[in-house]
Amino acid sequence: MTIECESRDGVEIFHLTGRFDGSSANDAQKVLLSKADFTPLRVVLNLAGIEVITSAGLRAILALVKKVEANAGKLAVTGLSTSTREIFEISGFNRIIPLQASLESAVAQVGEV
Amino acid sequence: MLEFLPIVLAGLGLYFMGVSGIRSSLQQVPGIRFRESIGRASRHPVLAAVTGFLLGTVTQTSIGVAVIFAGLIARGLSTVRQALPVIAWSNMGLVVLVFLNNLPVTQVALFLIGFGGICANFGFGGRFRGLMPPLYSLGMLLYGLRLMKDGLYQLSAHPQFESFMAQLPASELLAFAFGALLRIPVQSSSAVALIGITMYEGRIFTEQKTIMLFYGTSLGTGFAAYFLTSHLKGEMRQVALFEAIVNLSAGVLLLGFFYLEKLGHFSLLEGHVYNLTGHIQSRLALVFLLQQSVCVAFAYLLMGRMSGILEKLAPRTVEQDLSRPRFIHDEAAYDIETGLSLAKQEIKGLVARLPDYLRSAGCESSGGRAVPPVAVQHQSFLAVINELQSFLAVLSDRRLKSHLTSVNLLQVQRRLDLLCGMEEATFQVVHQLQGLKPSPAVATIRHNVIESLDALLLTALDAFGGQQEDIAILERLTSSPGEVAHRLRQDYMNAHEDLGHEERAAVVAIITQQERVMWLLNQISKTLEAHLAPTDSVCNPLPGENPS
Repeated sequence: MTIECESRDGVEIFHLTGRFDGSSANDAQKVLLSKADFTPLRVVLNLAGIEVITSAGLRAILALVKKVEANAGKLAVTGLSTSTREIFEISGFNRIIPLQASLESAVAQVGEV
Repeated sequence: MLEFLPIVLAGLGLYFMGVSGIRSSLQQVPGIRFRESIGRASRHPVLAAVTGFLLGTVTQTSIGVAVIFAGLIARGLSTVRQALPVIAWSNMGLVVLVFLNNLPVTQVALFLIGFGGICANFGFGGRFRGLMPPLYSLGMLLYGLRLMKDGLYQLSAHPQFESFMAQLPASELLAFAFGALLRIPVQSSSAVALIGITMYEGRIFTEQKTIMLFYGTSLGTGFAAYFLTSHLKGEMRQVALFEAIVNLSAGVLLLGFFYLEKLGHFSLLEGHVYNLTGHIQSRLALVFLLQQSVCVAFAYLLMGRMSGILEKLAPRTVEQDLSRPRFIHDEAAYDIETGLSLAKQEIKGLVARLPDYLRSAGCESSGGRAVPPVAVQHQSFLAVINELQSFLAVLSDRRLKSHLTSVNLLQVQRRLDLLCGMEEATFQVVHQLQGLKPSPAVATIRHNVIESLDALLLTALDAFGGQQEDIAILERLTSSPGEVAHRLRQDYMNAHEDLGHEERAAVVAIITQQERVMWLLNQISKTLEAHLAPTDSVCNPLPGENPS
């Protein structure tokens, strides 16, 4: 799995590509937590390139949620496939992270003061 | 010559009916409390010996006692270490019946048949009512022996039989083999010993052959214990193997002693017994006592050295390992605070097991670790839950010192109830998922349900760590699950035309159970939160309690 970072309007965007599963989740979590180290903490996760997400991937995202909330930051997720959206809904992750239809709307939501 | 035959047959029939009657009557007596009492008694060395002796006396089968303890071990009421002395001493309990035979058998037998039969039929005997059927059966057994003795005596007096016996090789070894073989169908060494004594009294056997028949029963007990319990596994098998090894060793040793004494013309065991009494029946009973004492001595000699060997011969099963509580134990129930703390740890440990249910349904994050089948996990989980419920019941019977302790206990009980429901729902989800045929139509929902539940259960485990933020996240993740479940159900009922009816029904059932897990997790998060909430009643005594 690869993670590419982009800054836009004071928001850090992480573009994730590949399989977000047990084999990649630990490393991905380390990368996400280390890069999400600025104030104010405004992050968008773009999952458009994700083929499969498993519980390990969800747990890595949860770690990021905890960090963002601890720093009174904001986080949004975008680029979800039908299957990924379903797993977010079944697991209740849509209740702790706003799911946005487009990257622009996600950046706009997170960037709001 | 054949006049004796109906008498021997009648005796044999009464005898076997007596043996089976005693056994089946006693199987109905032990209830849960009885089993728990003997389980507790096995924890004290002296009580263990007394318990073993009494159980051996009552059941007249040491293998039966081993099987009873196999059951107690399976339920976690005893351990292999605690069971071995009981099983060892049960061998000694068998002696009682042989000594009882020295009483005026006919009168005792007829009295038992009359008294036991009348009481059993009319329900007399008050709290000892349950003992009447086995007493009646014991009477039948003894009267059967008496008849056999009479019949064999008639047979032995017949000249044709005498000439027939004279042609047989006078080998004690054959009597030894006969004892070993007879032990297997008769299922009681003492019962075979009584047959031997009866055959001696009927002049079929010499004293030496009767003794060898006794010794043969040890070998027979060893083989019977080995083969009759071959269906048992792990620790349950270990206790049966112990009984087998002890009896086989004793049988071989006594056989060696017999021939050493006979061929060497010096006094070892029998010689000393011979000097004790001139009364032949008493002497035979003493030889049987000596034989059983050798079994007990062997058992104690081997006990310390056997645990490693038994573990190798019958390694503990995964199910047995999983069925044991990790934290709670009987002694902890004496202190409520300690007990509650351990009960919480036990519950947390049980929550940690649930993700493995999903691993057995194909959850990818098993890390290559093999997990037992979900049915095994489920049964083991229920066994621990059962122990935990009994443990909490004992705690609630104790004198609760404060309001906080009372609230704490109720919270733990509530958490346990919720956990039971959550386990059941998780098990149902996995069960249904495993029943789904692998097809592209259900692949996505299968993957999503498994991975979602796994993430939630692991998050619940974090929440059990007691951190406020973890509990809050769990509560938010699991709040109002009905909406999503309803939408998904509608989706799978109305769309997905590629699904057959059975698949559709299974998917809907899976979504419903998954919704139930979410709801229960949410309730659990509330009990965890309540535990964190500050309370003013920490030191408040319960009404009527002394605050000191």
